[in-house]
Amino acid sequence: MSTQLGFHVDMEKCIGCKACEAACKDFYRLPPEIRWRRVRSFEMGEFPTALRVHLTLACNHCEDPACMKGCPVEAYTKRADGLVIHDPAACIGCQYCTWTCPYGVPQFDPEHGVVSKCNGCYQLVDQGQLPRCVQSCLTGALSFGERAAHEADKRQAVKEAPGFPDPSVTRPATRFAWPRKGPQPERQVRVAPPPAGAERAADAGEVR
Amino acid sequence: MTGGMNRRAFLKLSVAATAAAGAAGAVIAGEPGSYVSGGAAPAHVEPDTWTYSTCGFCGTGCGIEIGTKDGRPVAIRGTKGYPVNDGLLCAKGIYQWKTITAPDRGKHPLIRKDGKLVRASWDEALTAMTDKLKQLLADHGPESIACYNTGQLCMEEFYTLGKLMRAGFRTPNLDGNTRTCMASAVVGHTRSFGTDGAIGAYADIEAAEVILISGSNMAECHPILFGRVVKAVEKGAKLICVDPRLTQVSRLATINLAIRPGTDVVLLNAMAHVIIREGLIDRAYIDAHTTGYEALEQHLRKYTPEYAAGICGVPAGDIEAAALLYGRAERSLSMWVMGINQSVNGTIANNCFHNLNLIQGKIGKPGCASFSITGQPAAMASREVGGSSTYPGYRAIGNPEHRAEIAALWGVDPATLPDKSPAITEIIDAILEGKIKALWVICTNPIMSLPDQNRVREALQKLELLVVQDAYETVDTAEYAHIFLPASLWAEKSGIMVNSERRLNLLKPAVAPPGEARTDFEIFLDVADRMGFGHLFPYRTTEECFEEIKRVTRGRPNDYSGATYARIEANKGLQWPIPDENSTGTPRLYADGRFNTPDGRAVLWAVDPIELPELPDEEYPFNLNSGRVQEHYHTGTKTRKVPELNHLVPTAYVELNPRDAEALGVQYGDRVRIESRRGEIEAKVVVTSQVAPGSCFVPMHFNEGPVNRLTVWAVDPFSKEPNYKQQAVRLRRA
Repeated sequence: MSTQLGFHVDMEKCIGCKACEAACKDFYRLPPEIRWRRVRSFEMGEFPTALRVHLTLACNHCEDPACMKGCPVEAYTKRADGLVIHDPAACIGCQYCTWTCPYGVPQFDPEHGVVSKCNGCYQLVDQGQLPRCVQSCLTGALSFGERAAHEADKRQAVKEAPGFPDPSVTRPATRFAWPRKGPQPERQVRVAPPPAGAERAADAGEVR
Repeated sequence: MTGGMNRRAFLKLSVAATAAAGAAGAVIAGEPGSYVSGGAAPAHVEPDTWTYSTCGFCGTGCGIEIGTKDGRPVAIRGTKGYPVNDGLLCAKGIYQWKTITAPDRGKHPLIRKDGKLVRASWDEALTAMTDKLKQLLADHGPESIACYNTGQLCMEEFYTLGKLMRAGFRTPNLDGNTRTCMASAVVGHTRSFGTDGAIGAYADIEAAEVILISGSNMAECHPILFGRVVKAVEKGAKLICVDPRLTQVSRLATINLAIRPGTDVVLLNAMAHVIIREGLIDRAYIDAHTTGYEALEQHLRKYTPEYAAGICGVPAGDIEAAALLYGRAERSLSMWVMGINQSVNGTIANNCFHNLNLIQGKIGKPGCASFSITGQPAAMASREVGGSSTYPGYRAIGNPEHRAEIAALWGVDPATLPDKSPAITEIIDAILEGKIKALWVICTNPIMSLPDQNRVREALQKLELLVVQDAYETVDTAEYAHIFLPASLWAEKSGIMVNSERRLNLLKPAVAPPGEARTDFEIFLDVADRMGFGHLFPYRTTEECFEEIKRVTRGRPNDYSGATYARIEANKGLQWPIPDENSTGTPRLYADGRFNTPDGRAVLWAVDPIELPELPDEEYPFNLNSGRVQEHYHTGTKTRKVPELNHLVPTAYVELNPRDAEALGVQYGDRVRIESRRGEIEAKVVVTSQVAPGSCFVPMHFNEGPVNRLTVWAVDPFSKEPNYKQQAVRLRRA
């Protein structure tokens, strides 16, 4: 049976503290603008029952990675464990992958002239450790492991999340548990994409 | 690095110098110590040394290890197995190492000449400082001199500074910025229990069935603690949130009470009313361990949920439900921070929490506490050893017996010890009146953090001598300094910090201070020697100083007798009291029901709310609430130097409800002018339903839009803590 490693995000537990994002960025010494992991925030409802929820996303290590298909120099590899690795040494900085990935995962670093992205901390994983972001999660909202195990064991493990593009295109390995309050995944939700440059909750997209 | 190198050569280099070069592709997956860098240098840097220490940000007191490589700080990680944080850190904590190497670290003393601060030697700077202080002492007496410090030094520094100002300079004018965050908790503890000292333990979070979090955006301001709360809630604990603004605490709450600003006392009285009415009190505990119950019961009769609902603006049924949830649980925990303390109602609201828990006997038991959380890493240490408004060992300034004890321990005449302790707001007013002529500001930034910035600026400009001692020479308050003294950061010194749960945590120096910067401890001893007060300080190291502190606090509530630096490190912190060398500390105070009042009983307080200094009106229709965000700390002197944090929240903003934004004709990203009766600022608009219509929220971190230019000059009558959370403003498009 083939394996597929991936992240599981429990949005009930995520408090938007960005420890995951900082731990990743600090470990790999990424410049401020490059966010391999990124916490987005959404709001729904009105005061005093309004809810702000957070969605922490890095690479989804897709089963059918669009980044890989778009790469003219084969800088991408999909490992046997399912992790999608980008090799910056092979990258020519053409940025096709930044267009083909529906999730905005590969990011171009103009200073170094190459793209980079979350590689699932594969070297830590190979040493039996969890990715930095998962190790640093304060609430246990973020986990990492076999996608099938997430689907079997977690409170909820759906493919959809607020603001998350249609998962049928690239079959991302990330699974989500939605917040207990607010809209639920089986219901139809209207999603507005976050405006460019939006940082804080209120300027991100809203789910109503 | 990779730019001019072919791939083959690069891979060879990667394998050879894995940790340093690091950038590598899938082909060398699994190579130990080599990590993908994002294409090029800078890559992951593995420290060669990890040094045991304690986080220098909030009062949570996380155990950290400071990673250095070739003597330079390169990383910080949480200490695995540390009872506070077990290896975890918040985003600020992770990036804290960058605050050490910030380019604006003060490296040399500076003296103002022809209007500009210019480089000076330590001898020049300290001679200029002490000559002026000697002249003021001779001409105007000790009351012409004041010192305003912080909650971010170590215990030994607070003790030394307190002794220097009170026994050396003999001035009463010593206060800390702890006045602006914890004074209401201090006075609240003292009024209810006899002395100060937070009574609970973080382990109560996991032990509680119900957790009440009030006036605390814990998810942003104490993320490590809130992470523990989230895990407890996942395991079935119920959460009650009280906050006029919605937060992650309110999202996870079983019951959320989004009360009108400043109505906490009424709400807490109503909760106690329901608990008494429903017989959810512990009558035996009340009879054995408290005074004032009959008067309290009588007083609370009018505080029905219906009455409170009209004032607090939340449904009576929700107040009732919260009280029942809290009261019916066997183990209930209350935690609060600045939303309670920073108000004219701060002290009495603290007393209301203590009432609520005392009448149920929910004190000193696992999962039960009336728990005030601290905002600074050593604010508790300052409170315990006389760094601001008390003498060491929680001895009261105004108590002649306590002064006599201290005088005997210090070998000074008790008549020379000050018997009063004015608050910083009183010090500022005394500067404006010309009574105080010199101010020594240490590790704090009053221009940004005190209310009514224009008044504070005016005062600082009137001073004949302003000495600013700080790690950063760009600290806003240095704008008016006559002398700047460069000080070490926490990572550059040894000493003890004390966290919210009374845990003594150890600092060990991981790096050398930059340039000629010195530890605050060294600066205090040098000033003492130059002033002729050297005989008061028979110790020369912080560890020797701690031995004196132990003698001075022995037998007091905060007894550290059994603590040594080695034992603190070996035990990963020790919670006081630590009476002897076999003690592993005391998780909870008052487990035996004996309090530090003269009769040993806790005091129940029958209180009514105090009127807020300023309410919204036709002219200034919005309530302004100030506070913090998770990415920044206080006035931003540290976190705004960290590009990765500053990128996330780069500038001043104001949160506005969508309804108000529409009425004002503004959208996200527009700029608005915010005006109060004290001043005006500009800020970026963030439209969010997290704030109530008619309210707005501005974080305190940004000197380009300083919220404290707007805040009101009003203090709690008991604690003298400023009222930062409720004032009236108006807004218009900029």
